[in-house]
Amino acid sequence: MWRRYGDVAFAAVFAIAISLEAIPLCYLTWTLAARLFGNAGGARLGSVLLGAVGSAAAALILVTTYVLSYQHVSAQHERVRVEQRKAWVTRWLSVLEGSQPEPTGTLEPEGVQALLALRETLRGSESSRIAEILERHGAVRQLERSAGHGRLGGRLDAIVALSNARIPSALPTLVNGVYDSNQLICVASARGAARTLARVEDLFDRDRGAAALARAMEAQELPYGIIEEVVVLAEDAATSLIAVLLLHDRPRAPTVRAAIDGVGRLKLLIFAEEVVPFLSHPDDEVRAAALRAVSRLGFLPESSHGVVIAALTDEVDFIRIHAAAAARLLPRPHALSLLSDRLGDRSWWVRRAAADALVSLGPAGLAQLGRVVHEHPDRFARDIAEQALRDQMPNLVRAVVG
Amino acid sequence: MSVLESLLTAFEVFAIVYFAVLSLLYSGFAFIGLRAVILESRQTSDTELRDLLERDVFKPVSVIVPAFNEEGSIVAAVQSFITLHYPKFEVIVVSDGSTDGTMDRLIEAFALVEEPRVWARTLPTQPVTRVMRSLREPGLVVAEKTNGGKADAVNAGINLARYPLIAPVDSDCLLDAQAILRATRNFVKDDTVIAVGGTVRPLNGATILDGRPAELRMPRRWVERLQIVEYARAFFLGRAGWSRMGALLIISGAFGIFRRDAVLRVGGLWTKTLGEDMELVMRLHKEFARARLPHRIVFSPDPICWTEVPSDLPSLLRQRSRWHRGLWTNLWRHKDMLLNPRFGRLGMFAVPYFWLFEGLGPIIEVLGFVSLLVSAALGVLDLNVFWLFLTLAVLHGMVLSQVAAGVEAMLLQRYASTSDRLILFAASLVEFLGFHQLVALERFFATFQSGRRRRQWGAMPRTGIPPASVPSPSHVGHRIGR
Amino acid sequence: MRKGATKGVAIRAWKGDMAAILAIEDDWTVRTVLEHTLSSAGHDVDVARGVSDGRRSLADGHYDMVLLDLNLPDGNGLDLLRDIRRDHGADLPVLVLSGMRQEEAVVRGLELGADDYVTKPFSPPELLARVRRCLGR
Repeated sequence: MWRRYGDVAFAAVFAIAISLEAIPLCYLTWTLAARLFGNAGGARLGSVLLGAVGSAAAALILVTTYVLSYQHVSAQHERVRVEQRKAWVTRWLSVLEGSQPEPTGTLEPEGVQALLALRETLRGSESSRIAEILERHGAVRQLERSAGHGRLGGRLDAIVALSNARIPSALPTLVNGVYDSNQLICVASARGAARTLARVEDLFDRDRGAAALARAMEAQELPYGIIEEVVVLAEDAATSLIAVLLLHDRPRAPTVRAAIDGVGRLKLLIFAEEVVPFLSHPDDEVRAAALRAVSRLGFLPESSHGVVIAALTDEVDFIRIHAAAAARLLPRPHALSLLSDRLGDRSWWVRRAAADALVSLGPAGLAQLGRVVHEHPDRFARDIAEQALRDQMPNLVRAVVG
Repeated sequence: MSVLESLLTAFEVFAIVYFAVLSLLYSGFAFIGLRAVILESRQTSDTELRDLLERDVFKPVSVIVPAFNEEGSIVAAVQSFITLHYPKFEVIVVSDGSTDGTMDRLIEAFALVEEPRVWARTLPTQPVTRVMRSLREPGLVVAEKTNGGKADAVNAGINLARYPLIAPVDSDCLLDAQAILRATRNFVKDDTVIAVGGTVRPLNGATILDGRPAELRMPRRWVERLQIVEYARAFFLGRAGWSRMGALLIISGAFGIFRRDAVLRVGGLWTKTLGEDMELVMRLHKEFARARLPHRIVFSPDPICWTEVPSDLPSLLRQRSRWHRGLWTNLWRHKDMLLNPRFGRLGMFAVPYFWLFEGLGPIIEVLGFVSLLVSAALGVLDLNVFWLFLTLAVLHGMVLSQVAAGVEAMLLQRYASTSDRLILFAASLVEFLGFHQLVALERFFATFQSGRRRRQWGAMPRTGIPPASVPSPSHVGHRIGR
Repeated sequence: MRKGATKGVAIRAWKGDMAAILAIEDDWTVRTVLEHTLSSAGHDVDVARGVSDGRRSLADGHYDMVLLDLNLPDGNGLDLLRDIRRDHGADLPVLVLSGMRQEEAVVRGLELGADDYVTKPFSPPELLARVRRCLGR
């Protein structure tokens, strides 16, 4: 959405312009104050104003000139860059095919950018060769250096580049970046580390890397949303990451929540048993996440039936909502009757969730909804059952008509 | 010197100092805003967005579109909303007792059928007469209700919304394809964020292709050109700065995203103000501060909402009058926030600023003009000082306008031609030679009319989004509500 | 690009290995890779950047095959696929490109008549093989 260059220069230009305006203004105010307290000086006021005007005019000329030149230069620059990038991508493709030799020495920035873009796009042996080329030409080391220090913009660009590159050897740098005090660097590094972790092949290295990343995220107390993203971005390495996050000594609620949600989202059945104890966790959000995961995994051992049944009448709305979704895993007769009860819940969203859960039980659930429409004493329950059945109409039509 | 002359001098000195302080302050947080924009622009990389889309990591959003008598443009508008580049969302159109063909057009275009839908009536609103759903677009819901004003319509929409984030949008806005995706990032990155406001840009002059602005050109009327400069300044420098300081008072009613539970907590929008968007933000701040809950309300320069701005002076003045009356209603309603340390930077800095410079500003300007005339009549006007001061004020305004234009030049979608840039420059000059003063005069009168109840829906002759440039529903993009 | 064919009639005019292929893809890197890979193999490649661009190209010229990305910024690739099948019947081979973890979209695409699919990131030789196989139908 934005051009990422020229920002420092622009900020500097504006800073100068502000000074050109502010200093005369302060002087003007001071002169006026002096005048008020006796010092005559109409002429002086005039000359101060004149100075201020001249200064402001200079500021305006400065800013306008910069903006117009930026416009012109950036348009040129971009045209050239597009051509260069295309040329580089084509060249690298030829190199990978073997029809052109690999360039020697340090690579131009555009060449590195093209390689990074290709690394994202290609898979298999071509992708591995790109990683080798990047390492061979020292591009990875260069990026790691840029990620470590310098101004914020440059660091972020380097971290994003490493994130795209997914070079396992750069993982330590990225994990280090998570410890940074600047939130932007921290988050970008976490994401970069997750994407890189996804490409680590050796299982031992992967577990180690996951442990390091998890430690860093805990130390920085990252918010739930970011941890969830990290887990998802880790792809195949998510199992290693979730294992560490879940089995942590005293995990924070957001961390555990994210790990459990990751289990549910990625349908990692190997963690199904680990998730179950969290159904009784003191934190509401964690319990809700556990209920969600259990529901998605379709796994609810008999020993936990009681917990889910209790959750159906929990005080907190969203717990009841997720409990309704999980309730479909209870033995059929229990599920049908408990969910029918929930159709009369005081919260509309719980009623909706119960209705959806009944629908997901197939013909038995639909039949139950039909019974509710006719027999349930609560008017709202009857209404929502009817609406749920109505909502199924398009599916039925599609199934019949095609 | 006679008493009158001393008074005049004192006032003139006051006016100059007022201007100087205002100028310094605005430049100060314009600079903060600039830094914020520059940093924000790096936050969401394209890779990040692609990752999210491909891996289903996002927060579902309910887009709420209040509408009143918009038969000319409503279909095109809804069309553009349902083709948003967002994986999971719903569009809830609320017709606030439209008396024209708005509902009929919608019914025809989207194959709407009525259904006895059950929904949570958490917020009190005027009665909803019917709720319709589209056979073609599963995520489109259209509600019709008794007229109650825009805020009331939005509240009804909130009642119907099923997702945790709500996005009230003006019906004449075109949302940038990635606008919502970028805006919701803020909720993901920080659990304490309860509301996000985005940038609004004038659509006038742009060529629209397939329902999206394709090429930006300067519109032909000066009234429109001036507003382009104004909006750039207000958003990129003004709101960005306030947001960075943690004291954002306004999220534009044209485009904002809120956490539904936060809005429900404070009771939805207030229907008795013309500035319901600002009032909601103030109330959110108040309630969360009172409950001592950590919260952030941020402005994100990334998301772009395109809106048609008034193209003739009378409409524009009416609009500004409405805004100013809304401003005063809100400031007065929340006068307990003024200089109240309990509300942190908001109470100690933002609210007083709005009182002194936004609210009272027009009064001081008009009084200044009056004192000028009186001085001239009395023969005590120092012409030299007057001209110099005027030039200084104009130059300061132009510098800020050009900085805003500079930020706009950093957007990938910008006014590309040099002649357009020069027009922008000229517009920033013209703005302070009459236009600004006219608006100030209008706002001056508006200050004394705040008590008067007016319709919330401003009548603005709209040219509308040309339906011919939008593909018919059968060719539409994304399926929503999966 | 061979202009002049009327919409609705896809004439298979290619002989041997050279085919006219339309690639509808918004990511410029992927576009460049597709262009390079396919033209190196002797095919005649045109690119479109989105749904509307793609529709225009399909209307203006005729192609032996279409590569269609399902994640386009200005519309849904599946809708375009449906329209292609409606206008050109089953004669025009379509290969869809999808992102990772988009099994639903791929399945939907195959149901709507796509001949094959490739997930991104992809391997150029694999892509070429699939293209050849689709053309050889």
